[in-house]
Amino acid sequence: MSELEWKKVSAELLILSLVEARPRHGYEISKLIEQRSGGAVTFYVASLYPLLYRLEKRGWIQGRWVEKSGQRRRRYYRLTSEGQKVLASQRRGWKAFVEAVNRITEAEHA
Amino acid sequence: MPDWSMEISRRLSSLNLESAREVEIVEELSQHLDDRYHELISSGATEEDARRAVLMELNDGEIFAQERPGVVHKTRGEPAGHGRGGQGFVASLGQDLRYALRQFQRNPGFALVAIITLGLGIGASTAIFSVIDNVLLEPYPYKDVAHIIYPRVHGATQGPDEGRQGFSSDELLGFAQQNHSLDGVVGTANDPVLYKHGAGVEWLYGADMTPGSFELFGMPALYGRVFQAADYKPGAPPVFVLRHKAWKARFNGDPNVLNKVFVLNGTARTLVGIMPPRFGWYDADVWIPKTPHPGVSIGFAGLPERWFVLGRLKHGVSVAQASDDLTGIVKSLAKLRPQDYPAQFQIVALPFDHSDGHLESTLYTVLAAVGSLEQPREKKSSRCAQCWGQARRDCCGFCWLRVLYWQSVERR
Repeated sequence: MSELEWKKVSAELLILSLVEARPRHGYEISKLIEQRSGGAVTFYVASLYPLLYRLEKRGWIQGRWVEKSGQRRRRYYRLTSEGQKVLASQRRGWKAFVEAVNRITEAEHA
Repeated sequence: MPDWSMEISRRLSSLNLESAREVEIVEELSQHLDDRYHELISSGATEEDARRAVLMELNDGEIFAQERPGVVHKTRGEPAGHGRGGQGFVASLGQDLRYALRQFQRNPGFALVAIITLGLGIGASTAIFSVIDNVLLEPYPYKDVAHIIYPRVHGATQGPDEGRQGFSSDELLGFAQQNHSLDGVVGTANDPVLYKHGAGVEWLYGADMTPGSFELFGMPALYGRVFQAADYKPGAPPVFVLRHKAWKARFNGDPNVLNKVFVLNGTARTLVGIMPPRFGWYDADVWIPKTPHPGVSIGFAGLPERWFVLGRLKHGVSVAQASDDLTGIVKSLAKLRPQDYPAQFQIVALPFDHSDGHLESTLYTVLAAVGSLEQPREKKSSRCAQCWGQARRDCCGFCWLRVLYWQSVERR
């Protein structure tokens, strides 16, 4: 599976996970993905924001402009209550999927 | 620091976003690119390399393209938050129109069907309402039509719609001079007119009208004037008034025909007035002033002249009271000409605008009649004469519905 396909499968889960603890802006989200994946997964601007807007449209995250003194305002995204349910569900699904894949690949090596 | 807004806007242009929403996205993405640019500079890249790298990432639009619908839908249905301000309605309307046009382009067949359906629906609704409005809601152009009545000699054994409603000059004068229930009494009689002009001769539908007729209807002329008292005096210059429909059909609506002289039934008459479009009393093309005189006068085709009588109820007088009043007047005349009356009779005053049945049933009848306009039956009925003064024509329910329909069309 190409990097693009992996992204499509897991992108929603990644973003929802990253805004679970606290609201984050887009650039912060993209840097966290890159850093925590060790550079294996990257989301550039043209990929990230359409996904953010789609998640916002679904009501899973909510964006809000925040102004801080001496800084330009930024749009922060937070997880909504509906997004929390989706995140929990996707986590379970992802975990089950990975475990299934692991079982298959481990059997091949046994 | 490069200005990314132009590059971003250019890439967003195809999405046709609402302007306020586009501003927000440009601002948000510009910040992201600024941060990315600074990061690259900090890592040792030259400004040119950093700018080129950022633009390349901006062009990494494979997923962006797949996500476009999400962006578009987001901006269509949801508040844009900060910056939306009052641009709202006009921008939203423009966006909706563009969206509709794009949908039409994608589905021209559906668009065509939708447009035709809407057009037919609106047209049909307008046509039906036009008929209902003219026939039921506002069928007569006359002033205070609810107080206009017409009398009928009704024999005791006759059906409710039967009886004589042509009255002699003596009866008409008796009504006019002796009644206590009416503010005005007028008569109308058929008077076919032979119109002679340079190209030949032709028949017109004419109607004689007694003094005060136009005043009873409360109808002024569209051009010129209606009849005046002086027009009825012996030796007064002959005049006539023309129907709007005839004016349009025969004179192409030329206002210069007013005050010109026309030869009608061999008499040179001056056209003094042209009536408004809705006025078509007695279905005549021309109206001629005529004063009724006592005694038996000869009218159309050498027959004794008969007048269709109209009266306007005085304030507070009922139709029943008017009937009794007029019956008393005619009883004395019946002794002089018993051959004109049944053995037992009364004068029944009928409201000019009376109708039978409920509004709903009438609506359905009219709607059904619209489909039967071309199939009038040959059945005698006096109803048309009652309602439209077409005493000279035999007709039936379908016929008067057709008259009503075309009256409404003519009014448009």
